[in-house]
Amino acid sequence: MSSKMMKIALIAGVATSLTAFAASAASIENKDSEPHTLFVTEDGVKNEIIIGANEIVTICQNGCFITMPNGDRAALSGGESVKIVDSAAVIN
Amino acid sequence: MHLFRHLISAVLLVFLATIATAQEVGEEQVQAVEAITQKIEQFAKEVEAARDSDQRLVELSVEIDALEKQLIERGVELSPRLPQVKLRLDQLGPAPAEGEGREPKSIEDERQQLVEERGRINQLLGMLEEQSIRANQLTDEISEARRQLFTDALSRRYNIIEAFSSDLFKDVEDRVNSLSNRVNSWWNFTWRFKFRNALLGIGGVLALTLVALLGSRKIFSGWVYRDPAVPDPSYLTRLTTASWYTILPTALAWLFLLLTFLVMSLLGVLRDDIGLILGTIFVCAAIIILVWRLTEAIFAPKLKQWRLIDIADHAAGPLKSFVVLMVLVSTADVLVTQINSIIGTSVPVTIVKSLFTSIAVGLLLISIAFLKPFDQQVDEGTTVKAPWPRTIKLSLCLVGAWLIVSALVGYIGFARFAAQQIVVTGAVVATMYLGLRTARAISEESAFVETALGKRFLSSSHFTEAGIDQLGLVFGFAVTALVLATGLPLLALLWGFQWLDIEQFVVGLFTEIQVGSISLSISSILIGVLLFSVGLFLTRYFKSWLDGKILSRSRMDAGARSSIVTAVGYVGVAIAGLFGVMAAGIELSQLALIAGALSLGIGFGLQNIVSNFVSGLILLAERPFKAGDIVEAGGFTGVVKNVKVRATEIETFDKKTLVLPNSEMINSAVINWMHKTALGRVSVGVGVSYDSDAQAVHDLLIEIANDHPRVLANPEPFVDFHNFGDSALEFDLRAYIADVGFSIGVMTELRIAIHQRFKERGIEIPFPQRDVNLRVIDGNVSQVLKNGEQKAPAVIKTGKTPNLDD
Repeated sequence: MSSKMMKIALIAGVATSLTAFAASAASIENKDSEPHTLFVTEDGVKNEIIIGANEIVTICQNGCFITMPNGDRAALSGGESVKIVDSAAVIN
Repeated sequence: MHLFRHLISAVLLVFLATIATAQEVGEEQVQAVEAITQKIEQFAKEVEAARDSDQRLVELSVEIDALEKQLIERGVELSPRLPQVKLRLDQLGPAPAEGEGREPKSIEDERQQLVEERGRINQLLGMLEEQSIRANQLTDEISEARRQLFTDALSRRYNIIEAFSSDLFKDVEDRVNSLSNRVNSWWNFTWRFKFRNALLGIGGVLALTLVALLGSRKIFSGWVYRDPAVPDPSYLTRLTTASWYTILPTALAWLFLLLTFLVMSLLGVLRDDIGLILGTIFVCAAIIILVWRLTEAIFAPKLKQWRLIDIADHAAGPLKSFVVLMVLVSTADVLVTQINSIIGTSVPVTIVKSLFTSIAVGLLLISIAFLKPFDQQVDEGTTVKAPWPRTIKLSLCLVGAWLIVSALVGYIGFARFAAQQIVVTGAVVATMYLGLRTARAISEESAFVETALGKRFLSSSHFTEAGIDQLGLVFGFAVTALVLATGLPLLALLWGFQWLDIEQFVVGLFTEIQVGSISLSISSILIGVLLFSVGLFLTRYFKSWLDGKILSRSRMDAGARSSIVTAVGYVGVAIAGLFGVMAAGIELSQLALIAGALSLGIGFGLQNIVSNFVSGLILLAERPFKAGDIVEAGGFTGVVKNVKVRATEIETFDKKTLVLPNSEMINSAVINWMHKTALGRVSVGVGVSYDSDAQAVHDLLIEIANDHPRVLANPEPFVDFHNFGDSALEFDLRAYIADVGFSIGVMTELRIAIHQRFKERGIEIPFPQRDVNLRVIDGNVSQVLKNGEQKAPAVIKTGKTPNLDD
């Protein structure tokens, strides 16, 4: 096992452990052709975010409540991917 | 008819069932949300009531955090139902408008149900959201209250003189009495009512002590022993020994304390307050043991060669004592505070205790500052004690003085807090320093090889010494990363940063760093590098698999195979590079501006390289020669070893390697001995004397050629009688052989055969021939030749110039 392989293994280990951090956020994808406005309440702060058409936004590291454009609400805890289709949300 | 009715009733039943369960879910959820709401209200009240108690505030904060998580969980439970409801509503179609007539009752009912349910769920989620906001507010309030308490505690100024009143002595007496009363009562109770357990407890403790002592002596003595006879151990050896010296006995002691405590608490022997006191005593003892071993390992007053830092003998002892004293004082402070909190605090006692701690730590700091720990060589071989560098000495003095002054002036809370922070921070920083020195020692050249671990790697045959050296480098890097990754957050926590903030900071550092409009991401770059390396490995293995399994079975010759494999390799590297760049998230458009500006210069500079690369591709495709051919190029002759990206490697017969740029192979003439076939022709020239029979010679030569095993019969060998030379009749024997590589050998054998056969047949191969004409001066030729042995030899001139026998 050459040292080159060890270096690569080291880098691999570091990289995967880092990506684990990023994996816990939730992502919202706007599949419609027009922008939508969502309300996101995270850490007790209510924010308005505008997602453009076909845009993906990463939010919610620690869990949040969202309000869709059509008035429906949802709670996310991280790791979900939400798709907005026809102003309604589909949560995986 | 029957069937139809059954069907309808079945459907209705299902409807009712779903409606019923939907309602159940609704009820349960509503109750849960209301319960949470009430709890939060209650917490709000408790926070108000607990504004003076930091401990209670922390407890509340933890409970509110848990509640927040519950809120999210409830929300996540409810959320999926909404899309389902919406889907069903969509399936039912839009509601009929005003004048369009009514839809069937069941559908209208269902629609009603669904709309209600949707409204209910949204309402619940809304309530959850509100409560989460409220909970967050409470958490903020708690932080604010704690901050306020902290500031108050620090900035409160006490009257020292007042504390030293007669009240103090009474208070101390009271405390001592109270403590001894408690201990006595506990002991009496235990002895009387839990006799058996008490005995078991004591027995167990004794047994553990024995095991600990014996075990430690047996197992650890080898590892822990610092041999004074060893003259100069390497830093790494010193470090590892010091680590074992510290960790093993300390771990054992901690285990002993822990087990003792567990045994006693399991046996029910410990009363609550006594258990707390005992626990605190054990923790303090554990810390002191650790610090004692650690300082002994680092400073090693009596074992200079095992010392971990570079200070003189005379300073090591005092330094160790000072450090141990500082920790002792701090832990004693903690212990007294804990006891006080159990048996009842009193302000004078607290003031005096904190005063004592702060002043003691301050004095110790100043004492350390005034040490002269280094030995400086003044000339004539005498050494003088040198102090700390000025900055260190000054800062130590200042901090120590500051502690003492603020304590004496009355800011006890602040002084005590500062003293404790200093001791703990000092400990963490010292440990980090040692860790970093370890890392440096490991990565030093050839240091790792000498350790036991390194030797074991060496003996396991996979590694060369150079490889282990690099391994040492990697370990060094890993240790540095570990030290920083644990030490820095620890320091941040100590100085009041929240864990959440630290975590977010670190994650942000790695995932996204914004510089203007460019955002870098270290993790993405690492992933890109990783992907690229993986791609390279895959390409390599794919190439060897392709070559070994697939191409070796095809009919292609070696040259075609190597061309294909090399081309596949290029494609693989290109794809790997592309994926790597894409994964690294590098926006190529951002580089476009720079690339555009540089492209002209780069283009000019790289034109030769690119030309070589393209020539290489053409060589691979056209294959005017392949690996293994013998070619003449660049004035040299040799075997083609490899067509690479920029140049072709040719190995001459001298075993020298000639590296020729590919463009030269394309642009100039290259002679390939083996392009179409490996056939070659050998040519052996021989001259025979003018007396020989030319035809016989001709036939003999052909015979000799045909007799040679390697000479081909088709094309036939032939003889070229090409010249009436100066000395001989010149013949050339030309024959074809199957593999041009054997030409030299064949020619040699032919020449040997020719020489032998000519000798047998008496055909002469003459030396260079000259007809010499004699001109005799002063005499008669025949007379000269006759009188050869007699008196004066006649002068024979063969040329115009006088020679030495004249």
